[in-house]
Amino acid sequence: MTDAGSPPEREPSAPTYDDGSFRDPASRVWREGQRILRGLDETAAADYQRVAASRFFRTALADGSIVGTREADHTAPDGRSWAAVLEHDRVPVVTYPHEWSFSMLQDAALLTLRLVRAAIDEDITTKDATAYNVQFVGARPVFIDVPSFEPYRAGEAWWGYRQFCQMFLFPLMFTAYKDLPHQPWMRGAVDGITPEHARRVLEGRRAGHKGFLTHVWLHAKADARVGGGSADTVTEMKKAGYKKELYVATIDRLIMLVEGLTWDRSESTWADYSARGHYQSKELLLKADFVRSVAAARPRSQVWDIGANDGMFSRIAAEHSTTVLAMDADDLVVDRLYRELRADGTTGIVPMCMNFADPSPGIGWNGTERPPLTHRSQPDLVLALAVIHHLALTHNVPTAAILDTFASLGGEVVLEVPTENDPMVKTLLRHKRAGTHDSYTLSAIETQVGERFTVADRQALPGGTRVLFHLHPR
Amino acid sequence: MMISGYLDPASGSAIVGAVAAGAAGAGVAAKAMMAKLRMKRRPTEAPDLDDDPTLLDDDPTLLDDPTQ
Repeated sequence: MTDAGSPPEREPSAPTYDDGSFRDPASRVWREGQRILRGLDETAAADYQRVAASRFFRTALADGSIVGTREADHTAPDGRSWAAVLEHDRVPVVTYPHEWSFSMLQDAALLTLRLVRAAIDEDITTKDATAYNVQFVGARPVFIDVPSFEPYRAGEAWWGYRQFCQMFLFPLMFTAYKDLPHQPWMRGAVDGITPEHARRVLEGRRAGHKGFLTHVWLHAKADARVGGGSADTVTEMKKAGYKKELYVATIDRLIMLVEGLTWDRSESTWADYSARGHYQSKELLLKADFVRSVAAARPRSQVWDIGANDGMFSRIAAEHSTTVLAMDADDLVVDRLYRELRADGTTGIVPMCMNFADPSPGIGWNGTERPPLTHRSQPDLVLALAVIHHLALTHNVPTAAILDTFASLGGEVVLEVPTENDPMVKTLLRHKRAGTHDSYTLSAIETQVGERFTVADRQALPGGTRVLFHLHPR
Repeated sequence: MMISGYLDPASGSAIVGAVAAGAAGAGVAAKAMMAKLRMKRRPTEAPDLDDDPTLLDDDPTLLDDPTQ
């Protein structure tokens, strides 16, 4: 999406095709400065004209369900003469399904299905149903793959069905039926979860769950019985009497199924953190004032809030920035934050499931098709509030390495250091071998900070065990 | 037959998608499944070895092959 404010942007190098835009040979995306452009071949251009004239598409564009799109006149990076070029509004931060919470994946799934359902009324279908077709602008899912829409040909089934199951339905079922986080599965395979793997995980005593028999068990069996793809399938389905009514019924039933999936877990390591009982109220206010003074100093394009939890400080930063990435390793707290933001209609904060000690790697073709977070977002401000002790003491990452990483991001940092006398630090050390973390001291960390940053401000909180720093990278 | 999408139409998935549509879809899926299985059992492009007396079993050179 086009940025609303005017914070400084870091310009990318010369325009090149996006590394993740190659699977559909009819269309490719490239970025030129802040502009997102897409070339269409002759068939895709003709399809776009048909789709752009449809009522469903115009409605979805107007309500923001589909990314803002217009025709443009531009030259491709390789000089190729595309039949048409589209320009899309820029999504502030690209996130992936392995970084979404349950409700985010569910909303993305429902957006996909509802668009497919609306489109078929005007004889338009989608070529695919990958979760990567959806992005989040704040807490709102947006469909970004416009050339995915194409005219429906009578008698054809929805070819996106398998992909929808692998990338939306099965991951959602894992969480709803087995309380398994979907993120590691989606991070592990760019194409999602196969029907056979889903069957192995989901079958058992509780295999009577809604949708299991057809979408999982039968799907896995049919896969094994009739094998992979075949152009003959189209003919056979038509001969067998497949009609548009069945397509519509499939989508309608999928919508009902996905709407009915719920995740009932209410407890997690950090779900009660928002009570923040370990802070005195005065400390919390001072901390909020410190963050506010840094955030308000100038407009920022992107802010990372590492360990955002209930989003208290993300909301403060969002008042003065275009986008805040509210990251937390706990998928339940991310899900709660997402639902709150969705209810509020807040647009400047994107929640994200992210363990900073094990961040999203590049996945897919060449490991660049879906690149790591640092290739998708460069923060001008990082909020690292009371996370350094978790990275150092829980994950055993040396404090110097943590500070190196913060410095490498290139932006300013608000760092909260719980000292060696902090009750939370003592709790974390209780289960550690004696002596392992003797180097975790405020003085040692301050020395390391000084080697990497200029300290613009320093404030000790009244409790005496936490210190806030405002840092500029050297 | 023109394939509209860039995805390979996964046969099993397409058939299951019809089942997901309900009772009417299940009938269509069953027919498509039977056609698929018939086709799988009788590949039209490959010769039917059982029916060709000149091949394999009737080849006298095969019988003389000490490795058989």
